[in-house]
Amino acid sequence: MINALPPATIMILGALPMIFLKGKTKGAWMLLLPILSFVNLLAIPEGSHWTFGFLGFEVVLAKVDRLSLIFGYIFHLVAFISNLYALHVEDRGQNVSGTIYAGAALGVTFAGDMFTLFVFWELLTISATFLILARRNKAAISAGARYFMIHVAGGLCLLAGIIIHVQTTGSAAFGYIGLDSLASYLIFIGVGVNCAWPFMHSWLVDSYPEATITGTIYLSAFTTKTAVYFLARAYPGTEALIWIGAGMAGFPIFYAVIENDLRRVLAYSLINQVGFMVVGIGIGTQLAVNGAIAHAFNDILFKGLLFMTMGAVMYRTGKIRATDLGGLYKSMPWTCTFCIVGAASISAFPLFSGFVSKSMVMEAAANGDMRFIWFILLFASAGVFHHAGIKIPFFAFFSHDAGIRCKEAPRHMLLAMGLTAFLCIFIGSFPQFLYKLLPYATDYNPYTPSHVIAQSQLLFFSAVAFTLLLLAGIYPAEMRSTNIDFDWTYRKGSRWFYNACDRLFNGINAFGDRVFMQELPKALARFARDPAASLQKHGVRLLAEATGDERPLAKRLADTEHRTKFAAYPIGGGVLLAVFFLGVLSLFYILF
Amino acid sequence: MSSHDHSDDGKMVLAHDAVAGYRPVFLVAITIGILYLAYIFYKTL
Amino acid sequence: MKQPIDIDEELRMFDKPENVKRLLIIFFTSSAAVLMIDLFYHRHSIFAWEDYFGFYAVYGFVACVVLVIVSKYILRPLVMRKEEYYDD
Repeated sequence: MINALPPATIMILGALPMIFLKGKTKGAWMLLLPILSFVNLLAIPEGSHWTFGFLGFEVVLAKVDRLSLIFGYIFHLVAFISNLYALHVEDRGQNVSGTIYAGAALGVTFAGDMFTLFVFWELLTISATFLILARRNKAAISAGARYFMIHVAGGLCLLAGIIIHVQTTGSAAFGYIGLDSLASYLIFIGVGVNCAWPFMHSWLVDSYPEATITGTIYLSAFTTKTAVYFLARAYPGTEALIWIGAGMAGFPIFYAVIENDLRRVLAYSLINQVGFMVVGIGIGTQLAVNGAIAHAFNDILFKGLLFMTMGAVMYRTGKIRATDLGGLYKSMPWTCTFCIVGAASISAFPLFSGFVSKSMVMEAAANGDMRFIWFILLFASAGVFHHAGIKIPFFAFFSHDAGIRCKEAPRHMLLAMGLTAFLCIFIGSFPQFLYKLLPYATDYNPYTPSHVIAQSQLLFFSAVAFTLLLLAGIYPAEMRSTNIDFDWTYRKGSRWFYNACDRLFNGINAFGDRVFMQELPKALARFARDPAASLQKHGVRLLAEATGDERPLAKRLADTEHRTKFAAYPIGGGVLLAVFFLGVLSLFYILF
Repeated sequence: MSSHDHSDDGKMVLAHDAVAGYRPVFLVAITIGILYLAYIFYKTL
Repeated sequence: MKQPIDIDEELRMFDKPENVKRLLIIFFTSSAAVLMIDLFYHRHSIFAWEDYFGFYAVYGFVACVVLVIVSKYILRPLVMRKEEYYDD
């Protein structure tokens, strides 16, 4: 046995003392935890560890290989950065759930079996929900509730798939699955929810912009990237992923152009970037998978950086709408600089991190002669520069001066952003440090003259398009608005469903109540008050109807009434006759 | 890019006013761009 | 946090019209320069269309214009609602 703890332990258990800590001690603990956990991870050699039997299956708490390690590294790094950024937060709920959330992501990454994986997968959902709820306003609470329900639904789909998979294969080991059976499809879709595939993506753009300033930094890093890790492990080379990924890379940029909430713009561009990773995994060649994972690594950093700069703007100004911002470069020059670094990285400018990873996926698509996919990805590359690379910094820090004068972001936020910005440039300039960590050995060189020139031309002329559109007055105005997305189906649709159910079932209920609870008993009670009279009266009425002679009707009814009231029926004579005939019948029977 | 609105919170629309002379430049550029791209694809696809 | 100030007094580097103009000139010139590299250097390519002069520049330009036009004139009329759409 090795002298270390399972990878997720330190972050998850270490988060609990934060309930009691405050101020500087808490801050120190928040910074120390990811470092301790990282050192612990380094002490675990490659291979499967902490295995024991459970219900006849083998549980593996840590399966350490190159694929899980690179995700482990970046998750530790971003946990440290997020905790640094969140140092000022004195809210136990957020502090604890943020760190547990990071721990849960580590748990998924190193899970060697489906059961461990599922437990951490659900922990990921729960802790993320608290990061959204922690904003404590109405929008955040309802967005958090929607987030939770969607991920629980996705988790159940995953669980159903896992159970069938384990039953049919007889093994709980987590490894390559591939699309071939009902179980594999269920797992695929369950993961797709977390990966924000088209039509399953709306939770992301719905909830991330509603989360707390610091919560969004954590959120942007873990859920979608663990899903990417899952796909890279279980579904590399699945063709469906190429098309799903192309969809993800393509459609959100249109929304991003017209979106007013700058954090929501970033949420859309997050889907766009994950699309590149999903395409890479779908292509499945060594270059493509390497590219997907390198891009996940970089995206965690530059998307986190962009969210951090927007968070800093929000922290200082209390505003995040493009319509309310502008001209902040005077008040927040450092935040502005870091934002531009993040923007250059996500846009894949040469010397910035996106450049060294996105191109691997593009080249893999070209090598496989996937023209259509290649065109979509190139379109998405130009588009991401347009909305994330230009729109975010331009509308927040330049553009129309909104007249806001505020302080620069607090020091710990600047440190977190500065560290991330440094890493973005460092990885972009010296990609070999990242390449060495990738699952497949590679001597890929992004800095060929052809590639640098092509990318520069693409980006420069995307910027020319932006500038000309803006100066020609064609660029769409920023408007305070809600843009309906797929979440409309359950946010409005659920209301319709509710109303329809209300009409249908409550209608049936009301009908049943009227007929069976009120009218029928009333009628029965009326009838049963005097059944004989009621029957006779009915007969009398029928007779009157049949003969058409209604004159004696009133009298007959009155007679019946009278007779039944005083029991004055000619029963005696009838009984006598009956006895007489019975006697005759018996005589005949006895005699003959 | 030039106008400074002093309006307070809750600006509903932030329009981008045209700068004189750029619209024709843009129209020419996009026309040439589309035609040239169409030509490239006609030749290669 | 918001102080009453006269913005025109506070004009800095990127607000002054002459600086904006200068910046635009530098930007357009460098864009043209990046495009002209294609005249002197033959890019290595995988697809045939990549070989054409300025393919990436034209594609990037047209893609962004299409992106904005589609968003503005097709997507926005379809999906835009008032801000409180989900609140009632």
